[in-house]
Amino acid sequence: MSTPSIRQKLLIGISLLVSFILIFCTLLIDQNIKSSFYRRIDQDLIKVATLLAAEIEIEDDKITNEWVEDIIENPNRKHDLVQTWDLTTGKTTRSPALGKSDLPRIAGNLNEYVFENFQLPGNRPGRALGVKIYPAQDEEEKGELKPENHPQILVVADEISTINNTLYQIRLVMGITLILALLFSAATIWLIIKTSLAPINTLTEWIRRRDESQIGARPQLPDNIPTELKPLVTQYNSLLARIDANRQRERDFSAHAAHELRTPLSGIQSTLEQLLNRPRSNEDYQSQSRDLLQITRNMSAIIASLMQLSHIKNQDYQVNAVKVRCDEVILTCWQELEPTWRQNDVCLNWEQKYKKLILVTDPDLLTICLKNLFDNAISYAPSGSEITLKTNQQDAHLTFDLSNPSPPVSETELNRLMEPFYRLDKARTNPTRHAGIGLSLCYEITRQLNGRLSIRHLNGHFHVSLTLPL
Amino acid sequence: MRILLIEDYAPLAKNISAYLGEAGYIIDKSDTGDEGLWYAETHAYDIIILDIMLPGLDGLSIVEQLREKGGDTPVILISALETVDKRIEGLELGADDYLVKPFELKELLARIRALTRRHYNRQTKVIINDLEINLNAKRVYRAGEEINLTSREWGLLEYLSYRQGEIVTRQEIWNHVYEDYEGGTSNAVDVTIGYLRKKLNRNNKPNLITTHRGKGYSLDEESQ
Repeated sequence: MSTPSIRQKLLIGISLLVSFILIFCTLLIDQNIKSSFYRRIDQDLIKVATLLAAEIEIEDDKITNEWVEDIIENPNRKHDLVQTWDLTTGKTTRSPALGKSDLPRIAGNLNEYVFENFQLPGNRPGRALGVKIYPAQDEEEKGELKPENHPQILVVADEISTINNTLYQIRLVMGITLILALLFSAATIWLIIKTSLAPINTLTEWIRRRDESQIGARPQLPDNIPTELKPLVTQYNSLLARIDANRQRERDFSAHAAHELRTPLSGIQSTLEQLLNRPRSNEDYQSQSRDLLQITRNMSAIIASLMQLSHIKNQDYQVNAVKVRCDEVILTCWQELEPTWRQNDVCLNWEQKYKKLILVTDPDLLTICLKNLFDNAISYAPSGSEITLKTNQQDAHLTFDLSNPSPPVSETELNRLMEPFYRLDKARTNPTRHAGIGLSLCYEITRQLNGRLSIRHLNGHFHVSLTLPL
Repeated sequence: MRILLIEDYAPLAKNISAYLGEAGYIIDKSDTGDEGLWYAETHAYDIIILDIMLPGLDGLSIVEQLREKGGDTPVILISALETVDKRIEGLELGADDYLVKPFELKELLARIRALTRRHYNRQTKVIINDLEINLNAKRVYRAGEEINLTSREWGLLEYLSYRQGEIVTRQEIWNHVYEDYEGGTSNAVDVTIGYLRKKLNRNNKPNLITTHRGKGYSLDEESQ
């Protein structure tokens, strides 16, 4: 299948249109010229016919063709081509120029002119006028012969070789002009199309010259970019900006993932290196091994969270929706986190509107989500404080609203908190506990469960609201 | 030699500190940016090892502030961020080296030594008359004969050799060679200088450590 070409389509389309218009106009002009010529000759024929008709008379109860004598007597008229037919007797009268040849016997209704082209002897073109008339009769000479009983057909003709030759010359000139006009139009159209499409090449070159590092940048547009292409460029830049933002997010994700894994790895490596630097006591080995175990456990937790996030984000996880007692899931999650909330001295205040909270959802995903939300709230709540959980069922949705006391969080930070590895504490003050994946994981899980996760800071409390469909 | 280590990841800070301590360095530790900057501005260090992501002030801001105030202590940045941009940013702000986590402690040690030599404009071997000090191997020879020094004596000789030809005050020696800033300085330094002279001048060799009364000491080719 050939590639469609704008240039070709425009060239062919416009050329065809222009050719059609030019040919149509030429034909129209030709027709007008021809009509004009024929009109003149027809008017002449009518004049002649009118004069001759007056010379077909009833005299002495006889039909006389006086025009014959006039022609014979007038040498200027010796080439006149005239013929009459008496429709009653069938008798015909010819002008001398006709010899024994006949003009075409043409006529319409009474006094109606009929024209016809025909061939004169010697294959010369001619034009004839035929008219059906009654012979003229003077009032004084009215006799038995009634004009209406002797209708005549009068045919006058003239040679039109000169007109045809002139028409041919005109047509020749018009034809040549038409061909030249067509060629000139095609060339002009081609040039206009080429010039009009040139900015596309400029744009292509402009895009080709943009390397990867410039994807996010907004370089100056070439000056000759026409208005029609500007939206394309704008959309292209917008697309690149979105790609760049995605790439930046991916780069950030990789950098943060690397950071979260490199940090504990540096702990493991330095511990081992220090341990093997010189012989150590058993106590030293045991102490360092405990450190290594703790670092490894934290690292495993980070990797597990990363894997969960990856599976859920890439939709590798098959959601298995069943009837779930959410109140029981909440209790289980809270109990599993007992060492943490005991260590941080944080307690839970659960404002439960309904005793039984039943939801059709994936219990494993719900557990991961709630556990992460609890874990965050416990970790970031001040020691000795209380975290509040409000569960509410409304409009076919179940809402979990979890809040903990927290220092103010800016709107910008709130907007970025769902990003993987984003933490309010840039320094990773507590690198062994959180990697900044929890909220991202919850966000992805909520999406999988067709729910909604929102965060806000209100009255000194950080609120996370999880809404799931019943 | 005294090193300031600013690192918030406790397991790493603990190991770096122990490793460099065993290599004869005196380590001051800080786990926040603001405290680390205070240490750096108020104490004399031969090297600062600085993590980039810190609670409070971050590592790059610390380097920037130190350099703005004219501090020229060599800084080694350590970070898990390995992007070239971060390295360039750190080095352009005035850091002298950049190590990506995880790194080998012996590499860190080698870089500390190289930076110290560069900072004091010294080679790996310092030769003063017939005294040869190998700063990498931490060995001292006098007329081809090896001299055994204690850790403190080595620290003192190393510091004097880095500042060869300059008068070094007792306070400076105390700051760079001794564990604690607090307490008396003069007597402890004089005693160590005495021990060191004794070992270096063994077999009636000419004295290379000059005493400048009321000022301090210097390690010179021509001594009194």
